[in-house]
Amino acid sequence: MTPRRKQSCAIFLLGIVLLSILPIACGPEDYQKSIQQFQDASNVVINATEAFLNNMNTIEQNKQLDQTVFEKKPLDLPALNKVEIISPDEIRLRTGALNALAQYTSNLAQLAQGNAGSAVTASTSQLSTSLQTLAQDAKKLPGPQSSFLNNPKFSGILSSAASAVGAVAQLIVEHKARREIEKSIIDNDAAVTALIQQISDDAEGAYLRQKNQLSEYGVQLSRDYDLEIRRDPDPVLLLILAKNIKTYRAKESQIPAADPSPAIAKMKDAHQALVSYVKSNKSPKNLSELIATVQDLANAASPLGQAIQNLISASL
Amino acid sequence: MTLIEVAKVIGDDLTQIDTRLQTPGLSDADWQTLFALRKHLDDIQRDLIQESINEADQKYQALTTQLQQASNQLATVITNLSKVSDIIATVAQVAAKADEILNLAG
Repeated sequence: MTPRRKQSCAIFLLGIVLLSILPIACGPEDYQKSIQQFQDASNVVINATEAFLNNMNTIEQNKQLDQTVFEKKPLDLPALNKVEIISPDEIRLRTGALNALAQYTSNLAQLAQGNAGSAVTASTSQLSTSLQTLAQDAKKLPGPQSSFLNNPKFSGILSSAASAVGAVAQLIVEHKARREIEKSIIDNDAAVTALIQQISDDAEGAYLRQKNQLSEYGVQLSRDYDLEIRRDPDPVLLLILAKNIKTYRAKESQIPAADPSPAIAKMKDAHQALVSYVKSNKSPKNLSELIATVQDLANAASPLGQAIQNLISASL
Repeated sequence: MTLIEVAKVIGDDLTQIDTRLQTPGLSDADWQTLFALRKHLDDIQRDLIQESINEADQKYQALTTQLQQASNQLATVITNLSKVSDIIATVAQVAAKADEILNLAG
């Protein structure tokens, strides 16, 4: 065997050894670190989602303001403030539910480690109540034609998830056996996962609408400029249009990175990986997968917060 | 294909149409026709996001396949600036399929 071939064999064998010990290498410290990482990343995603949804109204209001000024119509700022594509309640209920689900996942992670202390019990019980309240509030959201979001669907899925978390919370409060609690977590998880997916879909819908509003605004600006240069153009107006086009281009370049839905989908992946870990009776392989999905979530969350800040700054 | 994925396909089509509308060279009449179709597609996308549907329904699945095919066709024709009538016809085809999906959901 040539020295080069010996070296290749050694690298190959080392790779196999590393792959086989990797699951074992994830210990309790890695697990605790992952829980913290999940909480931190989830907070970033939730705050970013809230800022992104709020920005929908800002984009629409700015679009109408520009059009009013361009058409030399009187300004009615109070009326402009009422232009709302998504209501504060619609945003609050979705981010509130996401927040509760992130906390629920963290509590499950503590339970999976056998840390069913009074803090986790109280927190899970409180989360169940919060989700029930959110579900009641969601029933009062406007129906079709009043909102671009599917509020009845969201409300139904939220109610199911609230019942699912309630069932798990009840067993924890009653100090049932760990096996029984874990079985309940697994049995009820479809409803919880469906809610995270629905919030991700709603965020994706919001992203698509926001992207289109911006795109249509770009068409409008381009058309205004085209019509202006066909007559005796007003240089001041052309400069104002050029300034608006620059702002539009800055926003347009930021929007793809500001879509929160992929990061919410990764929250769902991390949650599912945790449930799989519980289901597998905490196998090292599933622990490695859990740590990897949480890392994916953290990687998605970090640039998202910055992208949304850039998008909002570009609107100013 | 989920409804949100249908909305995404329509969103990608709208992006392409907007790029065309922002490129000089269209007559006023063609610009207005394309813009009217754009507005219609935009309305359909907004309505679809509000809807729920049985994604396993065969008719729905067939329609989403046809929508995807029409969208692929649009991606091919939209770059040919000399054939505006083809662009308008294909956008109309996309809108017709999207309409059928919306009617099925509504």
